[in-house]
Amino acid sequence: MKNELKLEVAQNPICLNVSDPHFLDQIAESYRGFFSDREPKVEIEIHITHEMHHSPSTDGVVTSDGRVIRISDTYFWGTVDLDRGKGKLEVMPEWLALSLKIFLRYVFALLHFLSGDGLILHGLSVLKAGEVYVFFGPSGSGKTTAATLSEGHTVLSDDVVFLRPETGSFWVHPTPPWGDMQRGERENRPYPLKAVFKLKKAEEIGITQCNRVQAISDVITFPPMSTGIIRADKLLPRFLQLVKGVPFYELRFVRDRSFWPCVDASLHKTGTKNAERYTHGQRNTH
Amino acid sequence: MDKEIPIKSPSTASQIIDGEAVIIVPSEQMVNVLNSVGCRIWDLADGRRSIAEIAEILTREFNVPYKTALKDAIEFTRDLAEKKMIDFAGTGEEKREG
Repeated sequence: MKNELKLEVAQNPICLNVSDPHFLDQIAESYRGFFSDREPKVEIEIHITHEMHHSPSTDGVVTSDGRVIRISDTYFWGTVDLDRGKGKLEVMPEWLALSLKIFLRYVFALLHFLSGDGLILHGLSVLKAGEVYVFFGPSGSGKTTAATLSEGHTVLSDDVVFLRPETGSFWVHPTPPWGDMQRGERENRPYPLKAVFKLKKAEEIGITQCNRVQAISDVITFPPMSTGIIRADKLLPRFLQLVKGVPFYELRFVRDRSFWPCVDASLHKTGTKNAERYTHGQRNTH
Repeated sequence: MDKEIPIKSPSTASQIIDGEAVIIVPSEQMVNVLNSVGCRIWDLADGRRSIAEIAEILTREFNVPYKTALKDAIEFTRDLAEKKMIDFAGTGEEKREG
């Protein structure tokens, strides 16, 4: 019985070799829509065991030794050797789904950042009429609420947003359901980015376009890896390119149906009057 | 303190955007934005000039008394050092002796 599963996120294919084939279906179910037939960049051996040979960390740790990354959490221990294209994950069966989610999020984030000009944001991306709206903000700023208010649209990514510049635009790649808010049909391909919104819960709605300095200082997200691998002088120019090429807004919003009309009005010339109305704090009660 | 020579920490990266300096310090997961005067001090922290020499330049360019410029430059570079954004490369005397 074949124990391997090939996955691809943001155009980075990997291959998982699972020690116990009984768990293969469980993994495949969580990553439906992200299967790949391309040559993997990294092959990862997944050893499912009750007897861990390594000591996992209690609070999540990512360390590196040259180009070998170690990722561990309470119930798993994993490593990826970038030069050899090999990885290992040791995990207890009852924690397989959660551990794999955390581990693969790191692995794909790392591959995305190291390939091309990949960028990563913590946030939510919503596909609407063929274009992507990215929403970000600190914990509690309203990303979950924004996802809830996006009924009828496709939530492409609900935890980390993978972006890449190409042909003069930025493109957003869907991710597996690493959060709990994904919905809607989409293909595993990049979609064009329309705008980026910093979310802020407020008593009254309002929207303000950010200048580039404000945008870049708000949006920079540090990859959760050693700075020996992700260098600062690579990180900053990529974010600068993003804030130069894409409109950034601060969106103060309330939990009602004014959310998307406010977003739309900020972006369309036909909605300029509405946008101005929103910036003066008036609330749409439609 | 005024003879010390500030130099940007090698772990930082910076860009001047619209006259302001955006500086990231990955080890601290921190982003700092400096205004025009801060931006100029950051620019001058090149590992060759002492704080006193930086203050002389600020005096000329921003039309402030030398005493004020020196005090500001000392406090500002000390603050940047606490945030691990700059290191001190020694003093002017060491540079001349070397």
